[in-house]
Amino acid sequence: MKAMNTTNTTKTAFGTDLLFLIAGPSIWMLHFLAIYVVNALGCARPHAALAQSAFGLPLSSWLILAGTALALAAMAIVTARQAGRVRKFGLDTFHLWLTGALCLLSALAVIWQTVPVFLVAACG
Amino acid sequence: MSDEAPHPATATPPLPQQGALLSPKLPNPTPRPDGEFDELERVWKAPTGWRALTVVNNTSIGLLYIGTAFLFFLLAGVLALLMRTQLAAPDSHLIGHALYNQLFTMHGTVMMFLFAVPAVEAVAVLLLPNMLGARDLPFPRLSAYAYWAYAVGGLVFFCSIFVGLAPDGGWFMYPPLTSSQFSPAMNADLWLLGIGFIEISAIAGAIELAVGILRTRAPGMTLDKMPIFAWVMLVFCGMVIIAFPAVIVATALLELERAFDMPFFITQRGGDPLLWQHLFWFFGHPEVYIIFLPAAGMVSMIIPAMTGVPLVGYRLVVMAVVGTAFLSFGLWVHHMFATGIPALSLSFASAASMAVSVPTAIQVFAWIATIAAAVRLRPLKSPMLFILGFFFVFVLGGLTGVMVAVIPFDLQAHDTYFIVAHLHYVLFGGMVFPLFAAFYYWAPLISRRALSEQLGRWAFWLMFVGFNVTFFPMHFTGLAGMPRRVYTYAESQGWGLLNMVSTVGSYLIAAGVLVFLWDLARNFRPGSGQGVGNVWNAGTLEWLPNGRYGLRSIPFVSSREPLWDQPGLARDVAEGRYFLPNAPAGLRSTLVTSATQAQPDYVLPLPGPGWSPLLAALGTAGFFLLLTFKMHALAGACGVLAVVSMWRWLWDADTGPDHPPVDIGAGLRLPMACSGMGSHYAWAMVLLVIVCTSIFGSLCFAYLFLWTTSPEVWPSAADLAAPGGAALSGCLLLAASVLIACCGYWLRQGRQGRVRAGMLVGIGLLLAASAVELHGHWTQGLRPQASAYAAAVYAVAGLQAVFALLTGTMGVFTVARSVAGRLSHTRRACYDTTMMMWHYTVAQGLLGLGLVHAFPRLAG
Repeated sequence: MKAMNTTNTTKTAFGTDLLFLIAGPSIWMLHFLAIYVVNALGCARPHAALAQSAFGLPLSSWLILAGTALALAAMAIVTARQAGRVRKFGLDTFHLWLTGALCLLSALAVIWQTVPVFLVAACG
Repeated sequence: MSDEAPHPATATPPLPQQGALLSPKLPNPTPRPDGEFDELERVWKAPTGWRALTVVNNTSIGLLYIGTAFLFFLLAGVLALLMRTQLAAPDSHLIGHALYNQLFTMHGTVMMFLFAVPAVEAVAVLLLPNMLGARDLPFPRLSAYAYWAYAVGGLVFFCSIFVGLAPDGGWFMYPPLTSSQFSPAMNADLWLLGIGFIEISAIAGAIELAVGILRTRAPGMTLDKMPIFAWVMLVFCGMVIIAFPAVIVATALLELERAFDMPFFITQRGGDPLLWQHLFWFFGHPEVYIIFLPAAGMVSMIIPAMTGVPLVGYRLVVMAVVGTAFLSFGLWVHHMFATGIPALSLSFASAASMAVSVPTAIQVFAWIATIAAAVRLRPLKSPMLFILGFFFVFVLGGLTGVMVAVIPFDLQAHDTYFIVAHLHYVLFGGMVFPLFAAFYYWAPLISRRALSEQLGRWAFWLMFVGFNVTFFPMHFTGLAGMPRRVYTYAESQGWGLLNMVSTVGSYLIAAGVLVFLWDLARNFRPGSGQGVGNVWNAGTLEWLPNGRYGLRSIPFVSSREPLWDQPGLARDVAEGRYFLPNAPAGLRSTLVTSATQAQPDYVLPLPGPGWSPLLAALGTAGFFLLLTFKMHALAGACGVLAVVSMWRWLWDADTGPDHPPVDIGAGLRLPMACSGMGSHYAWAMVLLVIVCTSIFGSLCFAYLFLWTTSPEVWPSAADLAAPGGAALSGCLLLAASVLIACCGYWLRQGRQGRVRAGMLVGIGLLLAASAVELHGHWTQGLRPQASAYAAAVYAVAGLQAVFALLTGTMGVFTVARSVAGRLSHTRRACYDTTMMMWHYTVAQGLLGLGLVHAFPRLAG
């Protein structure tokens, strides 16, 4: 029988492990909720600053694009940090793989759902 | 939550050193002591006679759960046959429109709430402990409570159709149709209160399963060695915990509107029916994946056993399951494409609807690749037939899903039979076919006879052909314009032939189900530890020899398919050569391990049979159902029964350091108690707090949504109540939080008198904070019936009052335990859980004050 723990693993808080593992889709979810709310507010309050246009797009759409950039950057940072954690704490490479793969999938989803900003009227 | 070794009770010695864990001497070849196995069997013996109702262990509750869920499948199926019979010919008057409305409402409701979700939870309750190498789930009485509440509540709910009281507003119960103006009878109330409380049962089950998966895995079963079914059930639990509170809040708001005229959904007073749709579908769409993912997990378990090779792309499948779960939360708006939501907002949901097909496709390709790599597949066995049927049907449903994710197409197909076809291809294909595969696959685990291969083929082909004959034509019926939920149609509309074909197909499905029932009657002979055994030569732990006690000993796991990779494992486990081969202290128990690395932490004593879960469930069901019938006194009595039973149940729950550390094998001595954040109860409490947060979050969404759509009913800053009351309420809450922290300090010091006094004063502060807030609104002249704003304010303040009462009850319980000498620094589970809920209640109260008092001032 194999030894129970053959790697020099340092115990880590499960809550932190979990947050890193699901960071990608969590960021996706925050991004989704944020862009949905920003666009809804822009349409519900047509006289508010959110609905005013700048460079051909309403301010709400610019905020959505900024949110997308922020979300993608956050996913890249999380993946890099997870790589550091795996090295530092001797965690199974599964942790890095899952974090990275979920960030990649989530990044594709973030980009995919931002594309309509250029194709569809905000409040049409 | 910490994955560190838990803080053991001070009366027990420290946990074993890491060095001891590095080289366990297992399997232990030394013969086990005489009488050890007999003692294990005696401790886990099932109650008999009347006391059989008090059974709590997973092998019994799981089987009852599956049987009850299947009963609801049959009942809802009969309703479907009645509908299909009515629709077989045009201008039919077999069933009137009123009954037809009840039939389609009950069919959808029963299938979704009483069959699909409970069925997958039931399979998990039955299988997961063995699959993880645990003796039972960590809270067996909670399992029993969840089951009985569901079974009793569900049966009473179903029987409402026999007296014409069944809900008739569609399974999603949209207002204003279901408002008191258009549905004044109690049919809608029965749905709102009945389903609302059955959701509570589902959440209880999810918390139980999540803690079980995270903390009772066999040593060595790290996250990347967990069976896929455990992964999907973990994801399932997370989804239930986040999604179900939204529908609980929705049902509560609609019931408040119906009972007290609080206009959340009445447009004339600033309400908005779309609020219901947002809340319902924020639950409702993830619900589809809550049903599908566990079924997909079953498929991922069955295919490797049928093909003789490990699942191809295990890591990709885990990623796909987690990704699907998250993305499914972005799809709720695709049920609302036709409601006038801004175009760009719809496009976000449309994009997410297409994106979710990526992880789903990853799973499908992983299954196909595994089948392609098969070393044994033919002749195809019944489970594999159902899985191939699942592929065909579910992929077709997925393709029409992509079609309806395209907004212009959806606007054409919306509310037609095309949608009926799509949702059945997804749900029947994605859940029912895998479930039947699971029945045939896992039956030998619990039955003395395997199910018949011949009858299995008959059942499959009848169901597969019947399903496609029923639902494939519905695509064309829908494209021809036939709307959903109509009880009849004119011959001139030209839908007669398609409907007749669908009806014939539905009877073929019924014939397939009857064949399955005949197979069950002939061959299914359940009995713990008396199953046929590993007839498929599967590789996962549930196929180890087992009994009512689960596994004879808990193995060390070094791969994903231990039975394939660890020769002699079954024999060694059965001979008691691994961990915990006995019943320490003469108690039922299981091993608790760390969540990430699955290293042994402590031995958890488990409760045995008892009446309290059953009585608590009867009380809870009676409370909600009798409220529906406005029998307030009886409902109150049932509520008291529920509270008293729970009190009795929990009174013995915290055993504390009653027993010395025990030898579990391999030289490891572990404590039989644990306290603090590393304990199983703290993990359950954290999950409960997440549920509460989700409830509060849904209510905050309701407030902000109504503010967005109806700013005209929101008062200006000058008209708001003076902030003094809110400030006082906030100070009272903060003082309560400080006081409970002091109680923790006094508990460590052994000053029980101060603990009791502090908690009682703290309860007073919590209740006073709510009273000050409610009184402030009332004296300001605000009445909950006046507008959506007023209703939302009272809902936020009311929820806080409910939590103050709940926390207060927990506090009184803690004080009672202190008085009885059952609370101490080393026996502190009761205090810890109360403290966690207490701090949450304070935080929720402060956020609620901010939402109601600060937000309108800041937002103008």
